[in-house]
Amino acid sequence: MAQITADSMKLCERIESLLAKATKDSGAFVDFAEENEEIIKYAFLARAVVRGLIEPLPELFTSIASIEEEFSEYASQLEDHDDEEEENDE
Amino acid sequence: MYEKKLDTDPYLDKLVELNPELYEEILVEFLKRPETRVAIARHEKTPAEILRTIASDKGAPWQSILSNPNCPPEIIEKKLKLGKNDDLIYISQNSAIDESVIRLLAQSSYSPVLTWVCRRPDCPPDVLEGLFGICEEQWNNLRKRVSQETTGVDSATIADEFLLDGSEDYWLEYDIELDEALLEAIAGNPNTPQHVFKNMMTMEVKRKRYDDTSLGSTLMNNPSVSAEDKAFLSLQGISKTKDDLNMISSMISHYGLPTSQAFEYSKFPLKFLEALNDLGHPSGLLHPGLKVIPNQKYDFNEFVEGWIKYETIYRTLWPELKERKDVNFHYWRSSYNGDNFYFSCKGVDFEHIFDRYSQDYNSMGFPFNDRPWAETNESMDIEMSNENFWERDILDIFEYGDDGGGYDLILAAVISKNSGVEVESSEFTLTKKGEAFVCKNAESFFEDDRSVRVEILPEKALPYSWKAIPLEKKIQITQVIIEGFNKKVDSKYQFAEHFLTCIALNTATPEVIRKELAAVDSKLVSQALSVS
Repeated sequence: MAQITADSMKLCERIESLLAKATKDSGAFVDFAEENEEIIKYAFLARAVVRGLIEPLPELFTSIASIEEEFSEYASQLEDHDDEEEENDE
Repeated sequence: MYEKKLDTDPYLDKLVELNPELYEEILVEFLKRPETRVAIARHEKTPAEILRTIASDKGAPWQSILSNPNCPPEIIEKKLKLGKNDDLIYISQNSAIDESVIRLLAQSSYSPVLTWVCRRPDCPPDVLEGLFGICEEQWNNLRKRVSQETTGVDSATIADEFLLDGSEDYWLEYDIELDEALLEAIAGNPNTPQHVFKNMMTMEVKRKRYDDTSLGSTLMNNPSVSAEDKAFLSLQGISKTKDDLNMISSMISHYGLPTSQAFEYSKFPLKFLEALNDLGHPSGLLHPGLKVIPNQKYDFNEFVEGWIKYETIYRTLWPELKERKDVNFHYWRSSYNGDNFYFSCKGVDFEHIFDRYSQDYNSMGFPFNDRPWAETNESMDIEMSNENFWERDILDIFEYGDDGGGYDLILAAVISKNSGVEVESSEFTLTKKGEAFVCKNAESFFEDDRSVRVEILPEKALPYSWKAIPLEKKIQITQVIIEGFNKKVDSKYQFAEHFLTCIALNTATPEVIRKELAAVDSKLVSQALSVS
């Protein structure tokens, strides 16, 4: 089993952080999951790496890296939406 | 209309006629085991003294004893005095009770007892009329309340008005307030007086019940309802429904023949089984130790239900299939749908439908049956956890939300579904911590809807075994099942198709039978032959 490099672990931690943001709005997250099964799969596998539930093969990190951009876009959209709502409240 | 036929085991009836001594002996033999004691109480010709002995047991089968026409009067008297509701129902199903007992039962405050009293073909007219008073009062109260709520509406059109308003409250109240089972029992009894029928005509005659019948259709089926009233119902579009003469339950058709139970016990003396086999008992056909009866005709469609109910046919054909590497046995336990026990075979497209109300010909669906030859193991280890998660869609699991645990269930499902044996090339392996995490989540999520590991033990199915059956008998059984399949009766032919598929898959099936099977017009059988 390959050693998890610091870079790989950092990648998984970034995805884990995005997942934590994404799951705050569970309704929207379920809708997103319906359309993006692969992203959800690798986001949760990144969480599993962080929590020491799995021993990854190197190719898993390649797959996780491939979802980062799109997942990050989704999470930032959620943030923008939250900011707009806060402004409207004020 | 209701009709009560004597509920008896035809093989015991034949035996008493041909060999009364052996009949006496077999009854005594039935008394020796708890399971056969229960079974023999169902036979409505079992003598009073035998029923008296069974009644002295702890946990005696009171339904069979009290509804049996030979039930000793002192037992009925005692139970009447105790007045337990269930016992009163069983007594009201006994065809031999006299009018005084019927009148006593008619005073019960428990509605199902009254319903069973009114279903009796010997229920006196005045009892039916008196009990109709209960329904009439309920109907009047309902009508009064509803018309108060809809002032100015003609009471005859109350239901229509309510429905025009789009309100279902009326039917809700109708279902709650009115004892429909009692009303239907009175409406179906030919002894009910004419003026009671007339009053019923003012009630909701068109309202369909769960079984698609209505008060009107029950009246249409009753020969005592006048032609004039029937014409009135007919004008409203109500027609006669299928006249079901078996409305009074048959314990034997529900639980099976007592003599079939005898074949279930390996220690039941062979001489009795031989005697029953001589009479053409269908369970004898599957018993490897019993001879072929020359010229005996067997009708698959007549006895297949018995074979299925006692699982003798499955016991004969399933366990030895474990010898095949391409056959896997599965056990699905669901608190909603019940248990389903089945097998799969690569290359054979068995259809499995495990809905609560559907019948599956390719599985055994009787819940929690104790089968010594199929041992279930409840432990949710990683293999079973993976199997259970594999069968579920991740998006379905999303419906259960994050469960307050940060989507732990989804996390468990994702790592399980992407690491099990079904995954061709996994990108990771589970750590010990990961395995424990998956098992913990599977254990709680699949608590009452899950796959359970099952181990097949052919030696515990003995004496039933396809391998052990002599060639001549194997041929005879196959021919009987093929005839059943070709007749295409109800859904029975689908059971026949399943059994023929099992025969085709069995490694002990000789070439001569395979040739016969090859001529059967069935995709499943052809598939089974091609993989064997």
